Order: sequence, then structure tokens, then C-alpha cells
Amino acid sequence: MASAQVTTSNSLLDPDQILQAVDATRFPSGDITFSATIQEGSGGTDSTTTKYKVSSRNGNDSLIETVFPVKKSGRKYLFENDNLWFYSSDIQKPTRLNLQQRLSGEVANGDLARTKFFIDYEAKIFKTAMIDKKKYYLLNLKAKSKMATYSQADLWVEVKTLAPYKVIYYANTGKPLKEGVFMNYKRDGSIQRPMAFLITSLINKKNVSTILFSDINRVQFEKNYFNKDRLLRF
Amino acid sequence: MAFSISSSASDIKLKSEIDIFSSAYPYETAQLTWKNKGNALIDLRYKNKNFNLFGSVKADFELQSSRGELYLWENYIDIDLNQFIFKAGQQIIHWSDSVGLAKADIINPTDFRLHLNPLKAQEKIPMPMVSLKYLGTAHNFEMILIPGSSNNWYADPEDQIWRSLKKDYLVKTGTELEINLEQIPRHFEYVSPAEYGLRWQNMADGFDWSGFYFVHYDRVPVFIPTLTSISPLSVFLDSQFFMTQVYGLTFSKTLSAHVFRSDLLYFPSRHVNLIQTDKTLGHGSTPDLIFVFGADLDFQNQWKMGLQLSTDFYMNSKHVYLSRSAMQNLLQLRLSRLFFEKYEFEFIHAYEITDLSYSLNYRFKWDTTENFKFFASWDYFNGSATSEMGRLSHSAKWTVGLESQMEWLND
Repeated sequence: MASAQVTTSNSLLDPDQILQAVDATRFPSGDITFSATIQEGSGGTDSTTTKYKVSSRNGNDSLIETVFPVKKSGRKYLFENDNLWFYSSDIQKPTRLNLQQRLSGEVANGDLARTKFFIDYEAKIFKTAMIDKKKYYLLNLKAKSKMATYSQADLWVEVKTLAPYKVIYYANTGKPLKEGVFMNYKRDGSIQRPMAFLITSLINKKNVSTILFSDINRVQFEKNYFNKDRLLRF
Repeated sequence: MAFSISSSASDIKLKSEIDIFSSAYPYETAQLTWKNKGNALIDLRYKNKNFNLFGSVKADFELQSSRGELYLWENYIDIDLNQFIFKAGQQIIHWSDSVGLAKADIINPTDFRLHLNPLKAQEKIPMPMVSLKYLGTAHNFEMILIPGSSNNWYADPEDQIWRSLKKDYLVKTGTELEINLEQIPRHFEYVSPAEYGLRWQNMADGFDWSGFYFVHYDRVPVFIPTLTSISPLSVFLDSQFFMTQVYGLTFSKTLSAHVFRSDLLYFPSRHVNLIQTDKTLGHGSTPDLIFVFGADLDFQNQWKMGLQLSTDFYMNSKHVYLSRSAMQNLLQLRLSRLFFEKYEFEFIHAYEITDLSYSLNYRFKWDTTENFKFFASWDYFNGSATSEMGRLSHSAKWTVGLESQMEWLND
């Protein structure tokens, strides 16, 4: 078992700092928009693709708008103050959902709506491990509230770069649910960001979904932008 | 665009419907939006004497009725001033967080043309109005002003949907008479004083609360009988709509993985039809208390489950009411699941606790291609002829159809 604090690159980091570094690697802080393409299946003829536009404020409040396919366009998900609201042209009003509900394939609403681990989870360093000659921290994440998408998770973070490698999400019972692998690192300014996230069900390993991230932009949202009464208008 | 065929045991309906949506952004700031939605409907009803759902179908169709309609459905401008949103024009406003039985959605009338059952009639009808909404960080506030009135849409007077009302009339008055209904109007009428409503909404600690007050003409008609003939004895039912006011509360909250919602409405005085002591049809007022509590339960598997309990209580228990009892208690179970990301199955069971009647509804949807969706459904009602669900037994039917959605973008 590792200690509560570890030394890396001549600096002293605690688990929370490591988690915040992971969050900064995944997405820029502040107000951002990005595109997310979810591919379900292995890419064969039976695989399906869904595209979303995501607007996020500090990884907390988020708006997910379905862009493709056309028959699902107009479906919107708003995460606001721990509440998830859904809007579609069928029901024509915001209705409340829970974060654990699936968005598409193996992807939960929270996988896109929540872009910061640090907000939802408390981290402890469990141990360090070598994988392919690289050294990783294994962080054990516990949900800070019942509103988190998953009750607990194990997160592997590369010691040298503090970049996330993979995560395993668990159910309340402790049963492993899904494995997510951060892939396709690309440079964004001075940071290498994972532009793909491969999710595999650990209950049925044939169920695979990939989220491809693109068009990450820094923006400025108005104070009242993430309001459910605005969902009809977006 | 949707094309459907629905059938009861005795007739077949062919229905083609096209919805056209458009949004225009006249200014690049996108602060002003003009939204509209059109609807074209062709509804044909054929009688087939030899039709048998589970047997052979012999083509012996006779056109019973036809209907072609073109509506400009929603048509309003929307001005977003960041903290304020102003909307003017023909629009729909929802005040309930509930799905299924959303009793607090009382602003707009409901389309009951195909069903008198509130579980089935979900479509809201837009009305001309202005609304101003203030968006705060924890509070939203909304005011609406409707310069007139419109009521629920009902089927034509000769439609079999009215059979249960007529039967209830005869049973409760104990008379043998011929009943003719007026065509209940479906148009918006400018009236004075105008209808208005206020709503306050608060979001704190994951709770979403709202309270509202709405002064309006009741969307439900009160029938006024006029004797038109003595031999044979016949009456004509004219419809009237009385001014009423309603106080409401709604809340929703996510607890663990489950979502809870509730609507509470109180009408201090609501005009309704009742059977008078001399056994004739009249009308009078009663306080009306409506309560809905529902839960979407998530057991972390593929199934979605919803439970909803609804109570509608006409509090003046001395009256005998037309076509309903003073207290209605409905329990609804909704189960749904998506199979292979393509096939969606939904089962709804509604159980009227007061008189033990029930309804079953099965729905199936299949995403056949990117733009087309096949759907099929079956509705069934069971109970005694005077029970809440039993009186809807003639609405039992199956439906199959094809739905398509296409989008044209002008960049």
C-alpha cells in the first residue's frame, strides 16, 4: 500500500492534486465546448454512431446536445447543480433523469456530463504499478455524494506525466461494471490530451463503446446559461 | 412524418400526419428566434364488416368518415435577454415536472379526439399568449397572459368515444331518451377578462419546487341539456366553459438513482356536471383536489420502471357526478427497455383502485433505418360498463405505423 503522499518530478503531490492534474489533462478548465462522437460496437456493419455537442462550465454544469443521427437531434441533456434534465421534441418539456442512465451503448450520461473527477470523487493512492515499463499510480476513487455517476472507481495515472491511462468503474455492490481506457493522446497547446475513451463492459466484454473528442474550444457562458428553463430554447 | 393504421374490432383508421418544424434566427446574435411548427393530417376511417384481427381479413371496406386538416401549430417569437426570456405568439407552456399523468400542465388544452383517457391523450394544443420568464441562479419566475380562451379538443359528436358518457347519462338519470351533442368548439376565442398565471420556481439541494396560480376558463366542458323533442324524448347537450382558478405545487428530486416527482392542484370551485335530486342533468360547483406522485426507479439494469399514483377528488361528496365518481385513484406501472439499441418495448398498466377496472398498453418501436421508425401498439381496457376504465372499452385498438424524421439545414 502506498503512502498518502508521493514524490514525483521533485514535487510533493497528494492524491487530490494528482486527480486535479488528471482533470486538467482531460479538458481545459473554465468554460468549454467540445464535440463527442460515440461509436458503439467494434466498427463493423452493426456498429452505430451518435454525435453530441457538449458545453461545460468548470466541469460541473454541462449541456449535451444530440447532433447526429437526425432522428435523435433535438435531444438535450442538461446537468445543473447535481440535477440532470432531459429534453426532446417528443415530450417538449424538461424531465428529470438520473446520471446513471445510459446515454448510448456503454456510455452513461455522467461520462459526458461530468468532465472533472475531482468534483465527484475523493481519491486515495492505492499502490503504484508498472505497465509496459511505465510506472503508474493506482488511485482509488470514492464518490463524494450519491449524485456521482459511479460509487467507486480505480484510476491508473502515469507517474511521469500525470496523464490518465485507464479506469475501472464499480457498482454499489463492489462489482466491476466497466473499464475505460484513455487513448489517442494529441497535443493541445502545451498539453497532451486523450482524444478517445474506450469503454468496455466488464459484464459482457462484447459491449464496447468509444468516445472520440474533438473541437475543444474555450468559451465564456453567461451566468444563467445552464438553466433548465432555457432547454426549450437551445 | 408518420403514417399509421389503427383498428378496433369493427373499424380501421388510416392516418397520415406530417409535422413540419422550423426555426429562424433573424439576427446573428441569436437573441431573437422565430419558431413555428405545422401539422398536416389526413385521417380516414373505414368500416369493415368482415374484419377480424386474429382471423382472415376480407377486403370489404366502406369509407365511414374522412378528415383533412392543416394547422399552424406553434408560431411564436422568442427573445432571450439573458436573465429574461420573452415569448409571444402561439405556444405551449408546461408547468409540470411529471411525465405520464402531468396534471400541472394545465395552461394549454389537451387533444382528446382519439381518447377520453388522460393517460393516452398527451398532445397539448398551443394557444396565443405572451410569457415573460426571469431566470435567476436559484429562482425562476414566470408570468403569462392569455388574451382569450380555448378548450380541450374532443371527437365529433357522432364518434363512438361519447358512447360511455351517453350511457352514464341514461343510467344515472334512469330515462329513455335520445342524446345529441353539440360539436365542441376547437378554436381560440378572444374574451375579457383575459386568462393569466404566475409561477415561481426554486432549485435548492437538488429539490426543484414550484408554486403557481392560474386564472382561466376550465378546459373541460360542462354540458347544458336542452329538451328538443318530447316524442321521441330527446335532449341536446350544449357545452359551456366556466371561469376557475387553481393553486398548484410541483416538486421533483433525484434520490440515489431514483427520480421522484409530484403535482398538487387545488381548484377552490370548479363547475362540473352532476345529477340533480330530481334525476335530471344539471351542473354545480365543487372544490377539486388533484394529487400525483410518481417515481422512476432505477435498479441499475436495462429495464426502466416508473410508478405513478394519481388522486382526483371532487370534494363535495353530496353530488352524483356525470361520467365519473367523486374520488378517482389511479395507479400506473410503466416498464420499458431498449433491446440492441434498436428495439424499444414499453408496457403500461393502469389500475383504477376505486372500481378495480384496468387498462393495458403495449408499445413497440423499431429503428428500422436511420430516418425511419416502425411502431406498433395495443390498447386494452377492462372493467364494468360504468367503471373508469370499463367505460373506455370501445377505445381498445391496435395500431401499426411508420414514422420518419428528416432535417434540412441551410447554413
